[in-house]
Amino acid sequence: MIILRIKSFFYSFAFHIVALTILGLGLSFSSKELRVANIEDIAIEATLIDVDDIQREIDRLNQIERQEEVNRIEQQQLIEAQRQQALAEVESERKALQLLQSQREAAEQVADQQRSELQALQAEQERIARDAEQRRIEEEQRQIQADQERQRQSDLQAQIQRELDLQQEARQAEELSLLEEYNLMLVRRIESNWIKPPSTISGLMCQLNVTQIPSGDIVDVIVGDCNGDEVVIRSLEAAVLRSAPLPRPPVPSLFDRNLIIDFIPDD
Amino acid sequence: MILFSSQSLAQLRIEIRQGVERPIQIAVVPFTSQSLSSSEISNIQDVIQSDLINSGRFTTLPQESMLSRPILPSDVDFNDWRILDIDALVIGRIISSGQDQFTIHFQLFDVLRGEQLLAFRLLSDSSSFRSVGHKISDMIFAELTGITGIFNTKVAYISQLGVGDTSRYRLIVSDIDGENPQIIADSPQPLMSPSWSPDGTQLAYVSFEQDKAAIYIQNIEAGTRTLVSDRLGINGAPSFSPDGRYLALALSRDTGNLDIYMLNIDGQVLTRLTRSPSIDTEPAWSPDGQVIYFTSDRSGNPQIYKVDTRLGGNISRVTFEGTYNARPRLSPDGNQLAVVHRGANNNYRIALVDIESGLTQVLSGGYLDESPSFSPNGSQIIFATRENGSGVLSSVSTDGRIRRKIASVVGDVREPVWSPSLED
Repeated sequence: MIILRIKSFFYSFAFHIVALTILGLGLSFSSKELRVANIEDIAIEATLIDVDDIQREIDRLNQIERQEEVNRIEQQQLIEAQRQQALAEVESERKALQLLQSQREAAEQVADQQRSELQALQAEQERIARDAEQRRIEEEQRQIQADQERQRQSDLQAQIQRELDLQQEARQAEELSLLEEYNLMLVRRIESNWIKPPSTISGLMCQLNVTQIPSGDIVDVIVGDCNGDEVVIRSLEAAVLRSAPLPRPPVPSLFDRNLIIDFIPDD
Repeated sequence: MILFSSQSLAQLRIEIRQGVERPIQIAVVPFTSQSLSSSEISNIQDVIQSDLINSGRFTTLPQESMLSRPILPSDVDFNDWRILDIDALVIGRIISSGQDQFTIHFQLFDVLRGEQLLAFRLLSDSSSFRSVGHKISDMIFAELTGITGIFNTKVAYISQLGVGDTSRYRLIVSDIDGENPQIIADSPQPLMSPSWSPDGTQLAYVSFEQDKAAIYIQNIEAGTRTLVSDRLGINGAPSFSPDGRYLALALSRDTGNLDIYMLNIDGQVLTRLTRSPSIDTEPAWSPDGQVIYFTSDRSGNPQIYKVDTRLGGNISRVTFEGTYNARPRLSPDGNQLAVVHRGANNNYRIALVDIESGLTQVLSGGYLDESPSFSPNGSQIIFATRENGSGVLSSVSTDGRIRRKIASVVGDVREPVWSPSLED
């Protein structure tokens, strides 16, 4: 843009110089005519004056003309100098511009190079980083996979264990509930057959060991520790004997030949 | 993998926390005799049956339900009784051993265990068969329940026959089932407040035969009697101390107002225990003889108080429930009082008062029940109740479960007093 403006300035300046030169060299027809006319006018008037005056006038005019010529030449020289200077300036400007341009280009080139180098470097770094990241990710994934595998294995193990536990619990619960049921059947039977004697002390604690056979018939009753009197002890034995045959367990595996019966009545 | 078997489980432990309140099922096989009529024999056997039934703790098997009638222990087949759900079996026989002399054999068996529990021989003449029956009942009862039997104890009571000028008052001692009544004293004037001596050989009572209340002590067997208090005013409510040396009694003397006194029977030393303008009467001894409980209206209505027999004074109130508690008698363990308690609808009923807590539990169901008295084993209370305008004997178990009217007593009966356990 600046360059363009300098150029246009330069052209307009050149045009003026040309126009002025044409004018100064008298190449302009109208100005010659004008000058001629002026002389005639002056001649007409000169008629009124002497020759010396004319000579002087001619001299003066010549002088003027010369002066004008000198002026013109000087002007021309000045213009030329100016032109030259302008040209030089333009040239220097151009050169400066060119230099600037080249410098800029060089700089740009350098920058470009640096940039590209940097880019290359970055790219390299990125590549390295990417590679590292990739490796890391791969490692991580391997790790995750390994972990997942381990987890899966342990989950599987836990699952199996849980299922085993559940099965075991279920089995135990079933056995337990059946055992409780069996126990309750025995408790009910014996309680309904224990005629608590009036001499039953508060805090009675008596243990009976009862031997039964699978039919529920009682083959032996042994009184263990007991703080009751003879009548109470007999009532306990009677309660057990009266309960025979004892209820049979819900499942045969729960049958127990030896029963421990604790008589611990609530007061 | 865990395998299950009965071995892996804990041995079965069964906890029994309650029993049942049901009677023991007993079978009394008819006794046999070569020489006696069945009605004579039944005097023993029926007494045993009815004693056991009346106790409320037994049911007996009707004869016609028996599958066998063993006489000797070797005749007994326990399965005959197990199949009938019989718990205990009694067999017996009466053998003549001289002129009106008999040996009564009896055996008690535990049917479930199939073993003999008792085997006794008792000598008796035919007139004492009832008493023998009561003795056997006592032995069976004690063996099977663990508490002392009371079938051979007695009851003393006042019976009034007729009204007005022709009426007679009798002090009677009978078997506890009302049978075998013996007249101890008979008077056209009121007899009152019999009290057993601790050994059961004497009765103290109040007689108005001299037109004023006086206290006598009478030997039951011999019929002899001693006047022990004939002081000015009212001589009332005698009560033997547990050691038999004292009578507690209520005297008005010259004050015209009853207070509690203690009389040394032999030395006639009188100790005054209460001194109040209110009526203090109906003394009753604690089993250890240290405290006398009595009725007093010092609070405005009759309540039970107690006084220390050694210190004198030191009187404190015992009953607080209701507006009428009177005629205290101590349970054999000394923890409870049987009283006449006025409750809902102004009914006078027999109640049990726990001395420590003051808790009162009404046991009887009449409207004018009076004179409660504990059985020596503490399991029952005898009292008089009104039926068709006349007093009759009744008993209730101290747990309130078994109430029973004692039939076969004549007259308008009041003031029954249960005897102590009697030696024979």
